[in-house]
Amino acid sequence: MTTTGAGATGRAERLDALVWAARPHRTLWRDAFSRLLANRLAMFGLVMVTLFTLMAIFAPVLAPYPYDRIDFSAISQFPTWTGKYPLGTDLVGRDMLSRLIWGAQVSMAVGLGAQVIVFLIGVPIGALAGYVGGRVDAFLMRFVDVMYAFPQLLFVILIMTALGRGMQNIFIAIGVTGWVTLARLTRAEFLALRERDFVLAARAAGASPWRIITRHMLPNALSPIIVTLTFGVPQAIFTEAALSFIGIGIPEPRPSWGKMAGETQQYITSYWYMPIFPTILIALLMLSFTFLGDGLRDALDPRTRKRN
Amino acid sequence: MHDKLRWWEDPEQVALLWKRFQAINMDRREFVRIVGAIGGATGTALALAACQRGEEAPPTPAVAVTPPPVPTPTPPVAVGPTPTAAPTPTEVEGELAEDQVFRTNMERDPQSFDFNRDLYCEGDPACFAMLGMFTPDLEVVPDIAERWEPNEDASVWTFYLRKDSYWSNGDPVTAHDYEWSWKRQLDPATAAPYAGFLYDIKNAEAFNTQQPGVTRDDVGVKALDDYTLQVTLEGPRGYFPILAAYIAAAPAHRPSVEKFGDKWTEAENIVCNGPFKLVRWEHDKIVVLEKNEKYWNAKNITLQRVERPIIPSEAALQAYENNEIDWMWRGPLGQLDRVRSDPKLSQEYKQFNLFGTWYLVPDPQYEPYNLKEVRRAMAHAIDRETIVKQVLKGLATVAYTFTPPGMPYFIEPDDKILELTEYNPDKARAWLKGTPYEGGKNWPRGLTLTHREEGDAPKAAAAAIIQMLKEVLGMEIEHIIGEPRETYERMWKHEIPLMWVRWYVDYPDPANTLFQVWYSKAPTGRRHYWSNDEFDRLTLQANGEQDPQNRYQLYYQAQLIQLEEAAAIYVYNPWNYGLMKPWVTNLPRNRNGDFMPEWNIFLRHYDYYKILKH
Repeated sequence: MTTTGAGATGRAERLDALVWAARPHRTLWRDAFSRLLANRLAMFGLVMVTLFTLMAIFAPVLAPYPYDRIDFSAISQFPTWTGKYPLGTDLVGRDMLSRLIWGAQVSMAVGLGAQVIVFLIGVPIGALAGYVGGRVDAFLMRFVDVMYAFPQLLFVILIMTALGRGMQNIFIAIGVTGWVTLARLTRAEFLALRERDFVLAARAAGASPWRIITRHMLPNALSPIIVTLTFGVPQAIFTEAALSFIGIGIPEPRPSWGKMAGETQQYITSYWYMPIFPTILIALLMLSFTFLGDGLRDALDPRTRKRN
Repeated sequence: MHDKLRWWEDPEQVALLWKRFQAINMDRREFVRIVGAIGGATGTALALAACQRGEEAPPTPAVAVTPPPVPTPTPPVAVGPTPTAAPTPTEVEGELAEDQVFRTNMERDPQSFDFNRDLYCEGDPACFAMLGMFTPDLEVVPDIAERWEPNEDASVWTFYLRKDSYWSNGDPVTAHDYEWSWKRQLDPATAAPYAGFLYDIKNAEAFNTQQPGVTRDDVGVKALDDYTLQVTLEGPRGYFPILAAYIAAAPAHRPSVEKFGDKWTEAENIVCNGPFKLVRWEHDKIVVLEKNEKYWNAKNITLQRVERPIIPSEAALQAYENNEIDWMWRGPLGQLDRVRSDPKLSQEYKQFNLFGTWYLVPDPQYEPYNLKEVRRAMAHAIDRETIVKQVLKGLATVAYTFTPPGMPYFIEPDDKILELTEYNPDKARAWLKGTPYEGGKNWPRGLTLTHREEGDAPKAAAAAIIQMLKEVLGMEIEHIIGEPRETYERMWKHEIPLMWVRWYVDYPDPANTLFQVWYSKAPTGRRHYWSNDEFDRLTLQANGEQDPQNRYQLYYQAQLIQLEEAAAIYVYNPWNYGLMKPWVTNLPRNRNGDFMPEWNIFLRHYDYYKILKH
């Protein structure tokens, strides 16, 4: 069908075009969002992540007890499901339910905070290397190689020792060491995208590099980035647990899920509930992020749309 | 005192021995135990003095402290020229199993089995036999050497080796093996990290540090013939047999070393002279030893095989329950309830008094602990009964004073002591009246309690203490668990405002507790910052006091002063537990009848165990 012509057909076509234009305007993002809403698993993930976030924010209101309150008459009590300590108490007599609710704070903050830093460092470096190429690329990638050579935990420990203890320092440390994978991935995506027709077209049309990167390449590279970030969240949670375990993470008695699971896993034969509950929450959080990530990828990437 | 053989009475020699053991990073505590085993109380006092004097301090005449009285002098049989015979294991009840296999875990894959190069190689020491060996009472008895004798001033020792002991490949164990091995350890080319252990041998230090003109042949160890080893020392060293029995003096098999180099301790290459030989070593998986039938005392050793799967400590209990190991020697607090309530495990449970005290040290250099009132308030805010009964589930006893119960001069808490230490929240809060913290307010921000990573029991107790201080006094304290070595270094530099720490008693005398830990004028520095002249005077005087009654009074007074100042808050005396399968019998025991598991000094527990039919 052509839009040029004359006579009756021409008028009808112009009317069509008007109707088309009068349709509500849909951007790429809006389009993606509506597709996301239609994805049940992704919505489940989104709802869970929201719930966990609310739980973290309102922990002081939600938790029945302070996280460090010890009941000496109820040490390592098994879950009763109802009553005073529905999920039991830990080895020192602290309420598991309260500690789990409070633990969401640390785990969510570390998981998300670290990923924000990873995103802010990894994507620009990868994008720059992939888009500009040549010497800049070589230089940046050698830098990434150097960063790769450090064992991550060791590096995190080093940074923690330099910065001191505290929650924000943990996600800085994890973020500063964790961006290399993302940078490489972004670079690889950009290298591939750089030669694609639509990028060439944009360049030919005179678009600025900034515009090409942000409007044309980044949205197309977003799906692997989002998936990587999503999987980075549980990883950051576990790194935080490892740090707390060797005594340079979140100082006791503040709980985090990773720490609760890590410390009590050796008691699983005696007190199954101590490691199981935080592990379930970590798994649930990880699953939610994965579903959400998958949903976002499907929503953002038109190539996968048909499969829904 | 002129008898150089009674070296434990000679401060010079004790100080030298300490230097040797320091060269191999031996704990001061173990050193004191060894010396105490031979020299009784006199030996321990001198050993302590030697440790305290340190290497840099000017050589004070004799010792800074008068040795404590000798309550029951241990007969010095062990290292004299005529040592007693090796113990022959006794008969046991019950029918023995056909397969005499003993299984116990290793927590990490060994670096090697080359004890001759590095005694901390983490291999199984049962693969090598020294000239002498330690009994469960930590005395030295003959092993490869059947006897030894010193010259007049104990500066030359002659070891007579038995002719009936062989390497696992059939080679006889000769004096040449020891000569060559010790020289190997001292050879700078070997780069043995703890060669300093053998510096008592003449020219050993010069050879090891590559002094010009000193060669391998100048080192004072020489095989006079195949079975006679003559060791010429730098001077009188009555203790030399102790060194010769320690694992650092283990031999290496010369042909294997020359053929395989660093790989000589792999299972397919190694040749052993100990009661057991390495037959299989799957790295990071398992180490298997088999009895060395060619070892002289093999006929008195019942075990045929030792299997050591590599299992980290957190997983050891599970492995024990899965019947993968027969002996689990480190049990976590978090499993205690189940172990004790389990009808089967409770039968296999072995608990040990660790003879120590966990205590809290508020350092008066730091706010708010600079105020005595605050320290006293803290002492009354901690409910020790609850910590012992609830948190530690009874695997401890309540402590109000430093010396643990069961030790001589233990101070039974009387009214006066309880007055100073009892748990009483009202009293605790009353102590804060008139201080800036009255009513539990205005505490400085960022208060911390620090201890080192040492298992789950001290950690749980620390959490309880923090909670009690918060509830009673309103203190908000962060709980910091530090890397062990670094934390102790910081403690010695007095950088930790509130330290949660333990002291394990080395030998049964309060000189080891109140004096050793709290005497503030030792030239090598002090463990904790707090000092008090009167306390120092009393404990020093007590060390030299002959009359037990007066001595008790002196320690009692000193303890009262310390509690009155609340320099330390004593909380509990720890115990530990392990699990041994019921079919393992004939456990090694010391003269008090206590089971002695393998330990840095006493190594030869496999020689004892017998496995019943099961």
